[in-house]
Amino acid sequence: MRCESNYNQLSKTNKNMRNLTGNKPKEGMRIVSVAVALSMALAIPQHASAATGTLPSVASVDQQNKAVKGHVSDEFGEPMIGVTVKIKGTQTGVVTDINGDFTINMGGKNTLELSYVGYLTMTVQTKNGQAVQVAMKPDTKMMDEVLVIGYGTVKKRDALGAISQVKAEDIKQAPVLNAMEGLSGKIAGLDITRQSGQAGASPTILLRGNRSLTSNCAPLFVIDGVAGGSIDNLNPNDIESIEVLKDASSTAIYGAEGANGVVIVTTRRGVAGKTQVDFNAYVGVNAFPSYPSTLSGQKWIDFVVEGYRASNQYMPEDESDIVYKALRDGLHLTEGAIAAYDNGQWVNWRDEILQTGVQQNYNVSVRGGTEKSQSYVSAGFQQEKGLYRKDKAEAFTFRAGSTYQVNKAVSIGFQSTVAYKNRDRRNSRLSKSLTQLPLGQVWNEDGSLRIYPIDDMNSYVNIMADDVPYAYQHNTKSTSVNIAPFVELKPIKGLSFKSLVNASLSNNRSAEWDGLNTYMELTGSQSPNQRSATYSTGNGWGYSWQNVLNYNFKVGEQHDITLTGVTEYGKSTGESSNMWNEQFDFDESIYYNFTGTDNKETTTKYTESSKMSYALRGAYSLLGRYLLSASVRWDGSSVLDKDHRWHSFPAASVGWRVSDEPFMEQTKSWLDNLKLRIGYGVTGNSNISPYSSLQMVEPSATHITLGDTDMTPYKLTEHVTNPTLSWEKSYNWNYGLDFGFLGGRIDGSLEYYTTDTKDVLYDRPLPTAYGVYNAKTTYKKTSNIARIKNRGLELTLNTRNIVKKDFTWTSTFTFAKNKEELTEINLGNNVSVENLVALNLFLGQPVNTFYGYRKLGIWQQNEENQALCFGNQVGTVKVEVPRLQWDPNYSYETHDDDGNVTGSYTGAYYIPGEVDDDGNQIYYTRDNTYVINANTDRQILGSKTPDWNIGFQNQFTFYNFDLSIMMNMRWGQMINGELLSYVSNTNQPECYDYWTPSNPTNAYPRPIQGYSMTTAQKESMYYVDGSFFKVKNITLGYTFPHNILKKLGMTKLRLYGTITNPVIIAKEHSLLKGMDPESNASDKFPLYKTLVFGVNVSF
Amino acid sequence: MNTIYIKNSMKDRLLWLLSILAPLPLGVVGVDLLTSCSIDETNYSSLDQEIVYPTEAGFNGLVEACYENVYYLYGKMDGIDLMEQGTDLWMNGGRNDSHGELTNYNENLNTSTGVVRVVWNALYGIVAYCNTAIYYAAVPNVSPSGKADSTRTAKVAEAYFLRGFANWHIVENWGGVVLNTTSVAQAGAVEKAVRATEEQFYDKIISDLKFAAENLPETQGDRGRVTKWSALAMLSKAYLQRTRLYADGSAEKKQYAELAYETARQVIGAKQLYQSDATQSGSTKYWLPENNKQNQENLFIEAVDHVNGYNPEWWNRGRTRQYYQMAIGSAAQNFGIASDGWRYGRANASVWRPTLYLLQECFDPTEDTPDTRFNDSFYYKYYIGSKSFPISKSTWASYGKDVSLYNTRRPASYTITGNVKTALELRGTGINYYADDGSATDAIFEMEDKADAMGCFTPNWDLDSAWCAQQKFLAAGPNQYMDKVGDGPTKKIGGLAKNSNFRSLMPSLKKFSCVKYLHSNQECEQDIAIIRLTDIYLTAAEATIISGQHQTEGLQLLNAVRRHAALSTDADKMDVTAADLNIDFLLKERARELCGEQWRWYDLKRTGRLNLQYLSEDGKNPFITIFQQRHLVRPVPQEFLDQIANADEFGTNGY
Repeated sequence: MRCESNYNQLSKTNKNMRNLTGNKPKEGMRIVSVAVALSMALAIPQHASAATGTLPSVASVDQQNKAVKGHVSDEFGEPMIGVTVKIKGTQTGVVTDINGDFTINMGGKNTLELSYVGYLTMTVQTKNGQAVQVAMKPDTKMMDEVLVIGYGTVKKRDALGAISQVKAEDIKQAPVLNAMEGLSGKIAGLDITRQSGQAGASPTILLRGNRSLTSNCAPLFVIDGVAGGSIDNLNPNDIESIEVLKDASSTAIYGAEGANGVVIVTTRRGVAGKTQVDFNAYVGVNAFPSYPSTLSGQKWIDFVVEGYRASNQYMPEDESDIVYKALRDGLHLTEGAIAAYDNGQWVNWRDEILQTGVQQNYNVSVRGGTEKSQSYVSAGFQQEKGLYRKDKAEAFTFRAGSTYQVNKAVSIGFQSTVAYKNRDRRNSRLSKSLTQLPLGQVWNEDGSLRIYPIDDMNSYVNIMADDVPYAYQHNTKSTSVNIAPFVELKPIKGLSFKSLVNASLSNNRSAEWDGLNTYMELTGSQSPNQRSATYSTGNGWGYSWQNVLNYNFKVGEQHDITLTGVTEYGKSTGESSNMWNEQFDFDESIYYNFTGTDNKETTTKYTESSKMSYALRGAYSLLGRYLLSASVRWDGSSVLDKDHRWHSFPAASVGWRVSDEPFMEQTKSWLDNLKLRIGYGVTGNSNISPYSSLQMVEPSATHITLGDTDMTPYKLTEHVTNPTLSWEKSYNWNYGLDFGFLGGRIDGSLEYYTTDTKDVLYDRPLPTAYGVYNAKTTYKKTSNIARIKNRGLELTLNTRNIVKKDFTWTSTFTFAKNKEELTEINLGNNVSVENLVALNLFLGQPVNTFYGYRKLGIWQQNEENQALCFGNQVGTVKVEVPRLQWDPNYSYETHDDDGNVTGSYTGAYYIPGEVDDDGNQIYYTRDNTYVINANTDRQILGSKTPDWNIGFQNQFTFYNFDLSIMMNMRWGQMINGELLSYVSNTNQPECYDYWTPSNPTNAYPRPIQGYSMTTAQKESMYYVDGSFFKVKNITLGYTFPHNILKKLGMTKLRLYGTITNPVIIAKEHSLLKGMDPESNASDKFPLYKTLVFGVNVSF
Repeated sequence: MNTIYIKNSMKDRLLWLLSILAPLPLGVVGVDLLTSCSIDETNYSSLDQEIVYPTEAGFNGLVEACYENVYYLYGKMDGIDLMEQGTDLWMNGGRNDSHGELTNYNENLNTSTGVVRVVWNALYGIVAYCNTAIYYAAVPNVSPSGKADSTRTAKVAEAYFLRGFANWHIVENWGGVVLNTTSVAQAGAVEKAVRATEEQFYDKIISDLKFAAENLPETQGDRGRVTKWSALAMLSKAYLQRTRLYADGSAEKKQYAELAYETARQVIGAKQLYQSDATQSGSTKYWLPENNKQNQENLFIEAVDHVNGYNPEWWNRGRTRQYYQMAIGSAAQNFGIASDGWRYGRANASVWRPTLYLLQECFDPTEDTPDTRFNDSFYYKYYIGSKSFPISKSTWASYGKDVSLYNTRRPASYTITGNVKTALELRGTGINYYADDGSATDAIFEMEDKADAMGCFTPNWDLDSAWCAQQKFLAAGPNQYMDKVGDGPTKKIGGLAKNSNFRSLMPSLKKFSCVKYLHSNQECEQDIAIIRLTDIYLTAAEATIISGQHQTEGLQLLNAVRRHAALSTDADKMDVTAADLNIDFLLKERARELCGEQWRWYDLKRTGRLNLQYLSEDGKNPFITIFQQRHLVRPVPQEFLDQIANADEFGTNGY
């Protein structure tokens, strides 16, 4: 289709050319040369000529059948490599070499067609075998750029959906281990966050807000046309482009799977021409964890002494005495611990536990081919060593694909992927460091770990105990293989039929070993004295078969119609087994020798599901200005009940290219493009497990002997059948405006959308009085009970701020705002509720709402009277109780048991209208303190979902240097940071600005030995505004100039360095000091800064 | 750039034709596949209830599933909270302490209280499974032989027993709430909940238990399965408990008491108590570790598998013990009691401690009492388990110790050899120090046989402070570790000790620390008795007080229990007279016999003692300062209220 349009356009320009150059070629040549020279001098593109696609004719030759030589340069006069040069109307073509030169045998023809991605296609007349000089012109408006959409492609100018595209260059710009991380901040409305610093952790992806309560909100990945793949199995270097389909008019073609958006990944393919070898590699270190260290040394002593003073209200003259008093009588430390203090044996646990991580990625690919067959092969290795010992992820990937043209109408080919992953996992024990004693010896003289840092404290176990060899081991290995052969027919012009089978196999195994000396064992938190091991394996296999028929034709000159029909069938099956055993005699065999004497447990499992789909789509374009598209998909799935198996998902959209209207003629000088789009569509979210519609019985997970023989209780499964279960369905309206100004200097789009998701699935707990799965677990019936509305605004702006030969500056700015609202909770039979506190669902609120106690600050010295009415001390956390009011005039006395007055005070809290049995207002005083309680005093605090996101990327080139800076902001979200509430008597994070009489802060409470915070006080500390600004990464690269490369035999060599997460600025910076709000201030695997050096080489 | 144009040459035509035909086979296969491509799924791993339950194995598995939730009620803290706490026997560290909701009826007892929900769920879980079993018992047997299954009646009788048992707990805790008789497998989701009356509950309970008594065998192969005697015992308890519904002296009250008596007599006539002899009382024998798994007095137990851990929640059983243990971590640890030792367990918190009423009014607070039951039920001599236990001179003095004895305290460490694991067949290899003579019995489990091996002494009789000061171990009687004057922080007799150094000290209930089956310092795989014979003796005795009949026999039964609690040589000292055959004495006897065994709250409720006046008497739980009408029942769990449409109408039971 793309070629078609180019051809049409070029025919038009050819006519112009003839008019311009046919009669006076030499003059024309001169004119153009002047223009090129001028444009080079001005270092700006020639907008006017580019806009109309005018082609400079460089040379003309006669029609003799001989080879023609030529040279192709870019708009700056630099030679262009890899430009496709074809004899017009034939399949004969070549590609320019490293010097931008080519030679082609004209075979009696005299018109050449030159094309290159991102440049206008040029047509050149040859003459008499004379050498040809062509200066390519960038297609600044990218109007002919092709977007990959569901089951086809569309020219960007004709696109009607909210679709964003990211090219390989942008993904590769900064090194990432997971391609989606590279997209962070680049696509408005796609919220990508990395929440854990664990090796191999995948980013969390959310498009246009939550639309589901229970099921996964991640978008559907379509890799090379096959839905349901995992981008985690791809090396980012193998990706050619990524398209993100955001609105339902474009995703409805994926029906039941399209609701969370669709990410279409196109991998690199072979191309005709010289064989090209690419090598990409980087190595980097992960360091500077965003995690607070714990008080140690003098700061810790100050803290302990402050805690002792606070609890004893005691200030002795001799300061050295108070230290020992605080340690002995306050913390009850053993003599061994006191000795460690005397000997200055300080420990910084965070730094002991965390090491410097390493990440590396190597990828080599070869691609090339002839006109008839093209191939692509690549192999990659990725490794990430986390900040912890035994936290490691490795991946080997292999991709191969080739296409062979059997004849003019038939081509066949295949794509294949092999991915192998090996991951060592571990538990994070880092949070234990936050309240740990900073004293003792962590290592023995011989470098081995000391289990007990202080000899006479058996309760003080080394946090790194899991690192001892054979203490703990958790490893997962997985292999996946995909083979996708296809046949494609193009029998007549405009008609294509493609049949694709994708077969996939996967194998995984997970094994875990718990030896005798794990941290949990040593601290007595786990069944002690037993070694135990788990070993599970799983196989998955499945296939899908897809047939796509595309027909593009014209009726007259004005009507352009494309029809698409799709059938798809998919089947997937899985088998798994799980073994568990305990009471082993040795550590050294870990999970490879299941000879434990006790509790051999084995389970096996099989699942299967299948689905069938049909889809039809029609696209119509009138005069290229009025666009219409409509589609419908029917999906049937085995996971639904037989009588409710099929659903249809329609969509339609219209577009109007305003800028092409005759009446817009006078705006052409500054307005390149203006297009209005309106789309509507229905999509589904198909996260329903197989067999959900059957009522099943299962053997109980734990057996019973009733004192004698092993017996197997048969229980009803936790999920009770729901025959009417159906998919969640999203009804989406999308209003879009595409614009381009100033000859490609500014282009972008604005989107407004509303999504109404009905029948949202929820695991509805069944009333317990009619049965429970067990005492701790209710039965659940997956039901379509809720409704969620999302609406939002997205802006994408691409600007070319400075375009000079040796200096360019381009920016991409994205803004997204989404409002999410739960609008209905229907328990069934039209029973609705306002909120379900236990399940954290509140009508009118976003899905991830925080409901809890609000912290107001710290009780200050002048608030002692108020604090004591809650039974709180000065210096502890002040929690808001909205329903309480303060009456400053109320006066009261306190009494002892004998009725003697012990004090007289004024001021008390009361709840208006709360009276005792005699009708008198009840007051809360020092004698009658108010107890904060969960039923009445919790409130809606905020939401995890940000109000808006901004991504701002700047790319600079300066001579051969390139610089890219990616920044993003997430604003208005709340986090519940576990790191924010580690207040203890023993120790706490160093960054806590704690209250003392001389430091009346509102940040963190005073350490008071022997005082433990109330639940309300503790919980209120978790919630904090998590808004932040971040420089995600800065990359500086250098590309070697051609003349040097030529000597090295390379076509490209670029060296670069990247720093990730260099700057983090949190709105609540005083509370979030040293933490990363992107990880929700989690106390587990911290995020870190990464410093990476890499190389991109092409031969 | 590879659009194909049809050319006119013959060769091109042929190719064109081929290219059209080539996909045809594919298309034909495709059409065939598309029509036959079923979107069905094969299901191997999951089992349809209609396939499983009508089979013999499936039905047996279903009846066994009825027992599963019993394990959430015993050997766990949830059941203790509702069944044993909030009574006259136990207290904790303060009004708002951990578990203050149920121990002290504080304001946090509401619909969101977690333990209330767990017990509600466990009980209704039992009921629902029993309903399913009862439903499928009526479905024709599809055993391969095709013959009628005569064992099915006896099997389903187990479900009838458990349903009666669970409903009894439901009605006692929540009053007239949901009386569910349908199977969740058939009924599915219920939108609106309906209440039943307490009488309706009891009618169902009694008819279920009668069915069970008539159809259950007298013995079962598995000791955890219920028998005819379990059913009769529970039936007698149900009859007695039902008397609380009727006015004192009314005909119904007497009638149900008489039924309780008669039913209890059937059990008493058929089962034997352990006989006291000159060296061991019957009670001591009952609690011997070797009798734990094979016990003639038990009528209904939670049978725990200590060999393979085939229990609900696997080895995580018997956590009960840690909640009744003295918190060793602070005071006792200074004197060498190992906080990680197995014998005295790991106290998670000093959750529950015996009241002065239990220690000194129920039990005889003298050293030479003939009643062995305090000794059978409590640790009060704690032996050293730590290798070293440095204690500073100032700390030594702060416990009221004679400072001149400081250096004469026991050596800082013993030579510790061997491991008690093998000898006692314990699981694992924890910190189980024992004496270096190699012998491994319960008696030397820690360091009992060593001179000076005692680290802490907390009897239920008062100790002289001067005597205490001269002991090398930590010694405190109730007069030291409790407030017997009224000058402690609660200003109440029986409150916390004035001297905070002694507040963590107490005797620890050891009924759930059967040494032979300890699994860790937290867990224990002993069997837990739910109904035992002495309870039925006392049930019968109590019934005679209410009915006014058979009082001679009633007194005999009471004295039989008391004689069972003393050496045969002391039997005469135990007898009481007809004057003692009254409710107050009987409640004390039940405390001596059954404290900690999860009947106390029901006992107080039945005898009308659940009120502020009784509970706040000196010596009882000093932290119960409120007890209102609503506290006679438990809050309906919020979780359940959230799940039904008519929550407002159903109500919270006043919470």
